[in-house]
Amino acid sequence: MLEKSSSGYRTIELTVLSGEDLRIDRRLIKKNAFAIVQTDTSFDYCTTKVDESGGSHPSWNEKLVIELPMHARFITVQVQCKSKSSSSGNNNNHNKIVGFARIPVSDFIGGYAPENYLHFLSYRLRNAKGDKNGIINVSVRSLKVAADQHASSSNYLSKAPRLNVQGYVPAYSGFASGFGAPVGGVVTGVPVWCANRA
Amino acid sequence: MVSSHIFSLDDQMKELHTDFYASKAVAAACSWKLQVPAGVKGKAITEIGEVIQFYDSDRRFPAWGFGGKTFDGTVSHCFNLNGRAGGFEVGADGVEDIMAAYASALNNVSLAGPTLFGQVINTAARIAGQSLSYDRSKYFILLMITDGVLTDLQETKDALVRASDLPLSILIVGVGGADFTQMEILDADNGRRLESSTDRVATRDIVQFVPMREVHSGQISVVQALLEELPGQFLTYMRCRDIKPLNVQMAQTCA
Repeated sequence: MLEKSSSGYRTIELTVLSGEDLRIDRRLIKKNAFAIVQTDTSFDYCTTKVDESGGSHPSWNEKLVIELPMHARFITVQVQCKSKSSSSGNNNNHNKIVGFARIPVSDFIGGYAPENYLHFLSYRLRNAKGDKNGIINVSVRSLKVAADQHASSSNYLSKAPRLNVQGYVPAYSGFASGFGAPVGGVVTGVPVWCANRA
Repeated sequence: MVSSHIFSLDDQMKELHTDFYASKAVAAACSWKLQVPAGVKGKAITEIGEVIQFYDSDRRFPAWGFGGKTFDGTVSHCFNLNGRAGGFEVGADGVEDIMAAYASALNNVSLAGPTLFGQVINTAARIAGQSLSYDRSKYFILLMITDGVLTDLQETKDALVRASDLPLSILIVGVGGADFTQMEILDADNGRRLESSTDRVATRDIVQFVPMREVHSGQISVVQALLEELPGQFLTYMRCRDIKPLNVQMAQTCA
């Protein structure tokens, strides 16, 4: 029983809400921030849309459904600033990193609140040097726990549409080099709402 | 003028409470460092307790002391005022019973050690978190009365950051002449959100600090100042979770 649960996963709903006071080299960024979400157990990752109008206080409100393995300890969120050159072509190497935050699983599972509680969590973003480059706001809710056999899908991350525009799944032509780990990672753009809400 | 302002705030809270949301719960904690006469702290409990007790439907409050050597001789930074290990709630008569428990505890508990806030805040957070399992419309208020400067600043910040995600607000009254600069840091009125040692940032401001000497020096009521932010903190919590007032839910069901 223990073995089974340790190899299973839980489904969580993570909404990347917004960023605050985002900076690169101490200067507030002007536009085009987006967030990349990953767990510490997989190279798979998922990105939000690029916020073109929010400047240094972007608002994404993007809901991601994540199948989180039982042994996962962290969800990581990295915020980047999409560069001009990458918007026109496939050269994505010029995106600038704003900062990185680690969300401990223990911040939303196993605390004082019940398992399915809607947590609102905020974290300090830091760059590689450790500079404080802003704050990321998310909400997290644990949906269900499943045994191993349902986790056969290779997708740990899937994207639900934005809440306010039903059925709209933004396309992402390019992002994120310089993210470190996810070489050959799979981007999943599977809208799960149709299965969950039909 | 001042008192009418209190009443309008009071009415606002009462309306939110009785008409819209389920009962709130109140807890009180009092530091055991006796740099300030117990009577002064008792006055603080009475003045503030008399206003907020009405938001608790059964008027039974958990009441703790912190920084004392308790009944069994151990130093505790969160002990029940009624001296019992379990069943920590005192009183069906609200503030009067808290005062009675406080008075009797004064005879049995001696001053000990530093002033630590972390354990009391964690205990209140646990109560607030556990209540969510059966009632999501409850909101908790922890009233802390202290005459000493806290010595566990980082632990207190960590506890506050964790608690900022729970239905809890913390009112801190500083009595006496100690330097309460630290308390102003906990009360994030300068716009800077509290940060934990693990880079987590407080979801919202849940602390209001007021030094009680202001009561005596001017016309501003400590009660008024202390409760000023409470309606906003309460509504921020309920609104971001889309928790609807009870009678609105009923009206929608009927329609």
